[in-house]
Amino acid sequence: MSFFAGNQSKTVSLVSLAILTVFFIAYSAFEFRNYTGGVIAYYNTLLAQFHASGITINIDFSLGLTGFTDLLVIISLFITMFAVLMGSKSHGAYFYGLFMAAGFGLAGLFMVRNFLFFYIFWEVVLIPVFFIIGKYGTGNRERSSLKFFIYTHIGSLFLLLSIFTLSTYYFLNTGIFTFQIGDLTALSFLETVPTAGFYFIIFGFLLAFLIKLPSFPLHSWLPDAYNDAPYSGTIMLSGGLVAMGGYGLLGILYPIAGLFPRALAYFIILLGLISIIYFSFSALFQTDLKRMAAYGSAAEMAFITIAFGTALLSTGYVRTLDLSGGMYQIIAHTFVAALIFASLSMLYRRTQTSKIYDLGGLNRELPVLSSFLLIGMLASLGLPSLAGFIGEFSVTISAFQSIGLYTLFIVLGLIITAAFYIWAAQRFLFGYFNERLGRLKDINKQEFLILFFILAGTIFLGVYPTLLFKLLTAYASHLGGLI
Amino acid sequence: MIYEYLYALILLGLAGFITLAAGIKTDSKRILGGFTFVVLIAAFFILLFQEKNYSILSLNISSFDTYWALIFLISIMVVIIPSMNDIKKRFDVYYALLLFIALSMVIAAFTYNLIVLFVSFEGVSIGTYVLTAYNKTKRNLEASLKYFMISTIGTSFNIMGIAFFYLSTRTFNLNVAAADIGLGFNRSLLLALAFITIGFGFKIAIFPMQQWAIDTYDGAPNSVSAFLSTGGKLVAYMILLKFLFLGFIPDYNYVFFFFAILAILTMTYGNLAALMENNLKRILGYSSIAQAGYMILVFALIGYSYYPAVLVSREVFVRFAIASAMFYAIAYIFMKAGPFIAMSLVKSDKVMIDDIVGLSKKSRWTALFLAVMLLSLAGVPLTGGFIAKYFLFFSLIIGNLWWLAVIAIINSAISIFYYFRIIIYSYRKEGENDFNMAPGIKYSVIIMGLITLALGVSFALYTYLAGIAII
Repeated sequence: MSFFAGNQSKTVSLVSLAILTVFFIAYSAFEFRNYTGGVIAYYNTLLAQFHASGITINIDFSLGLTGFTDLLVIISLFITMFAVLMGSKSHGAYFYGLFMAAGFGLAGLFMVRNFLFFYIFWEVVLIPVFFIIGKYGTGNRERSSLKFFIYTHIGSLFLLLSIFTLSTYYFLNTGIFTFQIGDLTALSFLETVPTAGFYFIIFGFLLAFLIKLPSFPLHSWLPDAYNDAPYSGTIMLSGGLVAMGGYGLLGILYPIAGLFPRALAYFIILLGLISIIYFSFSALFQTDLKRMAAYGSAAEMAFITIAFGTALLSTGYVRTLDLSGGMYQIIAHTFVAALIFASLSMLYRRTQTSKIYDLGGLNRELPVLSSFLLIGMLASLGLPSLAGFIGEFSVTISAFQSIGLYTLFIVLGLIITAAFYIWAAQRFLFGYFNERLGRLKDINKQEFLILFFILAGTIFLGVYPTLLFKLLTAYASHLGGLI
Repeated sequence: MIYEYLYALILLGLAGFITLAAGIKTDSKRILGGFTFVVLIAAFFILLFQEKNYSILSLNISSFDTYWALIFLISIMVVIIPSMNDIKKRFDVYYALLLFIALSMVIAAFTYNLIVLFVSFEGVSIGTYVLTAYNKTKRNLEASLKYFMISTIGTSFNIMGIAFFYLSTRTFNLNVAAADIGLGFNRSLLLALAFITIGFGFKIAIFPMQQWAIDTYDGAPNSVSAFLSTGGKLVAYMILLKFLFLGFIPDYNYVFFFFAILAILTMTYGNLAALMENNLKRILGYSSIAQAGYMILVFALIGYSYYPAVLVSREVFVRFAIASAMFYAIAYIFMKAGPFIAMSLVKSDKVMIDDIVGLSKKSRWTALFLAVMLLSLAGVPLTGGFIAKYFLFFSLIIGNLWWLAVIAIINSAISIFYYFRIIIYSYRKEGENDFNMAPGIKYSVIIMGLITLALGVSFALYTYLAGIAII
């Protein structure tokens, strides 16, 4: 709709998103009062059917929500609204239209319960983001956007193959071609799939989700895309798109993960550990704030990989804690990333640079903004009472139950993260003021309000996690019951 | 009266002569083009609503054939309005030729007799030689000459192929050949396959027979290139589809290997060559070759024998494959003809990739829908090309041809590079290019982009096609 709104497109997008968000939160509060896990709010419609010579093809469009996906839909609406809010006035209707399309794809991806449409939404998110980076980005934006697209598209092609394989095996069992997620991930069906075929399926899924997350060897699109995207785009990428990978791991893949070989679980944990340490070190050596925050965000997402891996090994309450910790981390990360990148965006608007060495002593000129930035960084390194802590803490303590002292590597990663954030903060927030920057104006009321709401969310998530944790635990223990 | 079934054919033929006669009095492109368009629409609806499943003369009309006939009519309809801008004069002959080509194409769709197929195919070819050279510029004439020379070689191969087919089966009629179960392995049938593939392969632009295509698409007027790469190609494609499905019984596994190898070579060549090209029309030409590679995967599937490892019966995956070929054909017309027609937006004779810079600034809807069609060629969801590819790969997988599907998917990933390159260029801001925003071209591109989008959600059409995909 925003494509047509002309000059008013920003307002139109914001208002429609706000209405949607409020409506959806009210709806889910109503639906999820007595949530016990599993899929609720199920809606299904048969789009096309073919029936001849002993075969049936069903193409359904079905939507459904679990405790986890409900929260993901809310944060995807929220992050879209926020990204639109951060867009500058100079951008036209097209810009906001692309964001609305990406937000639509995100929300659709989390709701949909059919693999054909899962794949469609998966790609629908990519294309607007590709255009956002390629058209409105900075630096070497065309190359970065193409790199981003190629990486994720290769992942999605393997995802496609896995989906095909799954539905083919399903056909062998039942004589019906269907792409319903519920049918295709039923354990009673998957146990009949030959081992080689099953390994191929999980390879495709894992590849797509780990590229998106991003995990260690598949991450090289990340710094370029984050760096060259406009700030709104970076917020969308870090808050919305990486959640797709997390959802894929914990929402799509985990229900079938009971059949995984144990070696694969160790391999995934290893990837997660390497990711944490490698990304933290990479962040340490960046001279550009945006790049540093990008690596920091990737290091945070590695907790989800670890949560997924360790949950495969553990049982009972530990697993529930592990899973819900991982899910909570996705949601918390959205808020933290939004806070950091929004503050950086406001900083960039004032100083026209994001190089650490060009800044310095900003606390003197911009006390309010730099406080927000500092809180965002602290949240990212997992300071208690801020959103990041809950997820990281749950993952770390439950990881200890499964992998024992190797948990120290996670702690090491956390230490490095703390080191680079504090080092960076020391450099550009405190210390001597770089006089070349001239007089800077602190944030105005409107910007303050934006940041304040995010901060309120972050603190709320950190201080009173029960509200969301209850939903996630219910879903996670339901998953535990399945396996 | 038995001829009531031939109303569409009679209408097309008569209208062609009427157009020629009208040329004595007028050379108005609006009158002539409008008349042609109306005639095609009328023929379209006659074919759509007339009774199916009967045979008359040597024509054998089923839902399958009617679908292809409709596709061919659409492939002509889409170029009628854009050609008003490309063609300089003598519109009467131009539109009359288009009508005669349409007539030949419809006959080719309905017939199962190799002689009639050959004659109607030549009718299409001869018409297109003239169309390619229509503006008589040096580029046009050169393109037409190349096309003509190569195509006559193709024609002789076709004749040889048909002769060898007759030698092995003692019949020109494909339906009869299909019914003849006791055919068995026959060396001359192998030769027939090779010759026929080469002959029609020139038109489809399969790998070793593709050289003419790039130069001809580059040199012909834009709407003629659009027609050559869609309608002209699809006729040969459909003939080969019929020929392989009916003329070769499934035990002939060499059909499979032959086409699997050809498909791999064709798509890989097309995609790799397009990566290094800077001339926009040539990129589209190479992409047309790559698309031919995907499309002939269907032939490979048709030839694939039934092994115990195959998941479903041969009938099922062949039916899916043919249905995706039919869906591919309709999506292909819009997504391929659209970009070629969009080349008319650029005012230079030789369209380089730099020439399209700034298109989005000039008209963002045109740029958007051009992007939609290119995305469709790349196989991105919510476009017609996606569903066609999705089900094509799906039928490969249920036919147990994993490796072929993986190769095709990797190719489709490579192709993204050059399609996106075009999109990126069209969205670049800098550049002072001037575009020719004639409404005929602009709205053609937009409408074709919209149809491509609409096909992207036409799951029901696919399942309908799976129902009628019986040759």
